[in-house]
Amino acid sequence: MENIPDMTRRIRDERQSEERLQTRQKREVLKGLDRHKTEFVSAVSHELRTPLSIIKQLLMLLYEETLGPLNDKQREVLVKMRHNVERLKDMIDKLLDVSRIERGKLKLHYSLVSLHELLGDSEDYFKESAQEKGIILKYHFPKEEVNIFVDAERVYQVISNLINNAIKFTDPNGKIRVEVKVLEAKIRIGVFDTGIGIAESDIPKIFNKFTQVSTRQDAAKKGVGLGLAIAKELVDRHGGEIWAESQLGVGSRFYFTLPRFYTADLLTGRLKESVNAFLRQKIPVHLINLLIVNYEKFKERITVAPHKMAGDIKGIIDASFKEFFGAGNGKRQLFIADMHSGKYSLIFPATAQEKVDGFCDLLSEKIKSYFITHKIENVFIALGILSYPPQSSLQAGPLFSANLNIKEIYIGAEMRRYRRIQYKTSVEVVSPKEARESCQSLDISQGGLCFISRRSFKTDAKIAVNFFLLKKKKVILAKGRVTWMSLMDRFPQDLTDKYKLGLEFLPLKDRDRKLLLQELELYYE
Amino acid sequence: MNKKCILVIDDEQDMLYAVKLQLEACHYKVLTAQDGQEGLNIARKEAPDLVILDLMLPKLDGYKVCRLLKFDKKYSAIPIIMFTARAQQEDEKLGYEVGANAYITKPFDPKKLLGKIKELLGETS
Repeated sequence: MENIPDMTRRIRDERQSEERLQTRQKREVLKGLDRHKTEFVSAVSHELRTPLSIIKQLLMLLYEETLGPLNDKQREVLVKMRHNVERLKDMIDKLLDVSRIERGKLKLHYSLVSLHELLGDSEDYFKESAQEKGIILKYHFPKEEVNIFVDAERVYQVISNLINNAIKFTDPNGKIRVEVKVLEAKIRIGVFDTGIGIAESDIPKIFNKFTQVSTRQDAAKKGVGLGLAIAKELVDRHGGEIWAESQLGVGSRFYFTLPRFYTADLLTGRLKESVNAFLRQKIPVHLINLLIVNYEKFKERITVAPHKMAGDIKGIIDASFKEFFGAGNGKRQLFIADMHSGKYSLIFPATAQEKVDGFCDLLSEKIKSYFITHKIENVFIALGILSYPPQSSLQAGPLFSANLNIKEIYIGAEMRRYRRIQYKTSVEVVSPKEARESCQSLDISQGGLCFISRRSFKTDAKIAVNFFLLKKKKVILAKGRVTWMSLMDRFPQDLTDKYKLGLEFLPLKDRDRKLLLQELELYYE
Repeated sequence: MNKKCILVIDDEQDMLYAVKLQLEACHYKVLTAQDGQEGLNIARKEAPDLVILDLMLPKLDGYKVCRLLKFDKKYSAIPIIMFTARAQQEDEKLGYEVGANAYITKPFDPKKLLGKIKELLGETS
């Protein structure tokens, strides 16, 4: 006969396993329900679109006076109808986007676009719609041309969502500012308004689905509360961050970042077009950039005439390409752009990644020996190969299109500028005093640091941090500017919110800069 | 002057009605069909000057109709405008692959559609 403790244990075990089974079953049922819900939303939204598009089409016939002239009252009615059809369409589109996101069906179509191209056209449109409400809207762009590798339509969707929100929640005589800032490895887009603002406790919630935190019960301003949730998903998928700062009654500032491909800056219109032509045909493209860092100075120190060197390097590229891929391979196209300023771009389609690596190695070997045989002295010739997307950003899934591979070969001392490495060390915020805390870093580069903080900072706030160099075993003090920030997902065990933030260093003290460079050097190999 | 003839194929009757009104207002002769098979038959019989073709059609889908017309020497010169609610890039690519001359999403901007039609019919305004 079983003794009592054994029996109790047996009963307890059985009960536990039964409970586990029940929870599992419950979870399965819930999962199933959720899937059904998503599919239902998707199907319904699709079905809603057809009649709506017919209504819109018929409305247009009246509105454009195709069927005869309208009087003012009739036109007024039609304007209101059109406006409401647009509202409905907007909601359906958002529901469809959310269901696409939930089913993992949202696909991004990357291409290389210039930010001016992407935003320039919208300026007049948004200015006008702000003006209708008596709001002044202004765009502030950097002068330089900035190219980004994104899904242009989706990025536009994010920007227009933020601007439309700003217009919606700002009173007449208010101001809206749309600004683009070029940061170290990102570009940051900000939409600032002088609107009603958001309570601090509500800010973390606004990027959730079906959330509306407006304190005003103005029916016309209501939406489905999906816009920001979709915007967040789209920004996340691009490998960027989105965040907001706000003060009730004063206004709101929304920011988002997009990774910036330095390489893309070098592309002239023609090259950009040839990259996009391949992408449109869904042919993977390899882009290799060869850069002579600090070319003007480099030119002064070499004994070969610059134009000869430019020609020679072009020859080396050509020869290496033929040697590596075979001269008879007529199908492969190679574009070389010689920009006469120490920059060369190579574009060629569809090749295995290992082959490209091999080709880069061969190319850098050949260039190195070119410099050696020409006895170019007093020049620190180092060649580094940098590939995009950086390995660290790949972990989160297919953030980037597999269709564009970018590599950079640097010649010269500063080749590794801005390369970021994963780097976990302790960081102590020392200034401002009220923000003192100990944190942990995520990654670091010569120009900045990314770390996790329990406090949120204002964007562009100046702070100072101490951090520990793991290899050099020294602490350095860095002053910097908070350039981007994002609220991290909160796990059940977390008691408080945590923010991931990017700090761009202000010029470091000579000693600290050298220490940091040496430290990074130790990590590069 | 002879009116140019446009065949519109769409399974939504009211959408057909809207397009028909639009085109007739611009002095085109308009033929309509509500499924792919019917559309193909009319296209072959009447040889219209242009076809506006929806993608999702009963009996024979828009791609098939397009391919059957474009790969037939007798009709391959007829310009085809693909017409669909889906603005996905994949669709657009497929549309051009089967030989469509242009691609317009629904609901359409009347000016855009008319511009495309004029361009394809060689009627520069």
